Amino acid sequence: MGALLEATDISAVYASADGRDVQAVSNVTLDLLPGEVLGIAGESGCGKSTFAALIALTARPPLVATGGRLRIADEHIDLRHLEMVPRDLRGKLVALLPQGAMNALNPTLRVRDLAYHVIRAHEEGITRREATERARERLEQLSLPVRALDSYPHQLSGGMRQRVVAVISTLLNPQVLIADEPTSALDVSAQRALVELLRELLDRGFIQAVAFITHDLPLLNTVADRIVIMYAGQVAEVGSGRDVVDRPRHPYTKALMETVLVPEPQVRKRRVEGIKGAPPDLRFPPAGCRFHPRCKYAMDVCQREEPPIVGDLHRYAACWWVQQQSEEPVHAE
Amino acid sequence: MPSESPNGAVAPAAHPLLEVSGLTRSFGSGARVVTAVDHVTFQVATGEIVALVGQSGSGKSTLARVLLRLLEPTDGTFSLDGKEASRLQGRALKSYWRDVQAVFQDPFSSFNQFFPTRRLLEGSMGLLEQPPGGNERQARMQEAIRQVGLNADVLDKWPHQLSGGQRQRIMLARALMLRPRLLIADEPTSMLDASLRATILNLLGEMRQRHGMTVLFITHDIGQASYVSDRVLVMRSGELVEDGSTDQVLWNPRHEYTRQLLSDVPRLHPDAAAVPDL
Repeated sequence: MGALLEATDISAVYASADGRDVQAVSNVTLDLLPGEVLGIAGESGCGKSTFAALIALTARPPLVATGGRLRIADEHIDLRHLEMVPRDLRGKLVALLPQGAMNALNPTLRVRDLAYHVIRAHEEGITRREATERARERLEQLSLPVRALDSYPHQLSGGMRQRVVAVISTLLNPQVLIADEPTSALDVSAQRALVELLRELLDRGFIQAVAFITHDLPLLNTVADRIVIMYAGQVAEVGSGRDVVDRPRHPYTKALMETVLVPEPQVRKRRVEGIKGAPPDLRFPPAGCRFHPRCKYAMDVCQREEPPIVGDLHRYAACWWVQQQSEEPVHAE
Repeated sequence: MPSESPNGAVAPAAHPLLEVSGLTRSFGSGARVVTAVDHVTFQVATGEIVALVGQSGSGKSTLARVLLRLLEPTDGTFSLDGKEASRLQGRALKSYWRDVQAVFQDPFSSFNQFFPTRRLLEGSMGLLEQPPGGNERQARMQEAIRQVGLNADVLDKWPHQLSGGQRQRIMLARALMLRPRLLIADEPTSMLDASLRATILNLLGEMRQRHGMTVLFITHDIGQASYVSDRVLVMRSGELVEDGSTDQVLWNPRHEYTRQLLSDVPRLHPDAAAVPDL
């Protein structure tokens, strides 16, 4: 099965006037398969939202792509010249579901006006009545209240707002939906409802794949087919949800999983330690592996050379220690 | 790794430190009145860490603000160590604030952007009955900064030079420096990454062990509540619907709402029984 979205060796920087650019994303290679929810996780500043902006084709200066190739469906996109991508093409390929839907909605427009604007941007001849009708039909199919169309954004609860934006932004049936921290402002019940909605959008074929960006690992584990762990602008580990959560390989992923606090019996019994130190300043990323200053398994080579990719494209960790472990399977920890 | 409870529970004292009775706070008037806190009654014993959980809009933060005397109660009373505190004024109120300190969700809004950290911490020591001078003042600040895992160099930094996690830890250091008897922590970790979150929660447990500090920990994250607290209070639409030991509330909830809340929490290991003890 061919990938729906293929990002190869993507790098991007936040350009700064003094010439010390922030290297926000470095050599990231990922693919998104049809029908899949790909989770992208990591701490603040790991580059996950920057990567989301790049593949959502919404990167604007000072964020500048410096390298890499992006293909979505049959379209090859030049990330360095995003302004050249025709607008109607953009809407058919990707839609972005941002963190605060409140900020994405014009407070003086009703939801049905928003639907009209979204569709009209791609189908010039459409009337308001047709647009409203189409949005109404979509809400009905997804068992969401149709009266939301007549509401102003502030009349909807935070959770409902986020669900409505998800539906409106996918009215044009884009190939890929990029959800960038869509649940961080929601409480657990609203989170669950949104995640179920995304699954239904996929199952009904309104969208073909989802990239779900979050720092919430337990939530990601319930929604994602595969998980990507990012650290300091690079991919640390990729694998199925099960693999990454239950059998993490990269020392960073291991440490991250140990810090997760969920209401499970074993969490009450053990002492959880934070990860020592802080993520690096990406104006001056450390040489070699970017995690080495915080890594308890760091070796000499980690300080000098970029870590190798251990595994294949769908299940790998970028780590010297993991490579050593896989060569000596009986090595004691 | 220690085998017993990570936060080392302390045997509760004979009488409660904080006693809240029928506390109510409403906003607006007439037909538009909204009761954010509705006849809430509970107690917190000395040395206890009690988590107050509930969804957005359940009234948790309003309750915290009333207990901190930043909002006047509409009805009901509360007392600290047997002394009525809900109507204190003037010097008595200032003395109450020596005993009860707070850390809030958003560390941005608690900083004066024109003051470096040192001045912020020095200023808050003015609240003490006998503010320490000179060397002792510096020593106390440095000790507080060290306790929260920061280096003394943050004392000379300005708020914009600090990360969100550093700012939050300085706020905690500020509160701890005053050695309050009760710390009200309102979502203190919601702006922090998971890796820092554990550090802050562990610190709360250590402060309790070392100084007998009592903590009311307000959160919407049941995972954090389950890690750090001895007891859990569940709030819905201004009312307390459940009050019990953490184990009882998590594994044997009595109220339907608590059950619902727990079932919506995403798990890391959905089939937890099959997971070996880490």
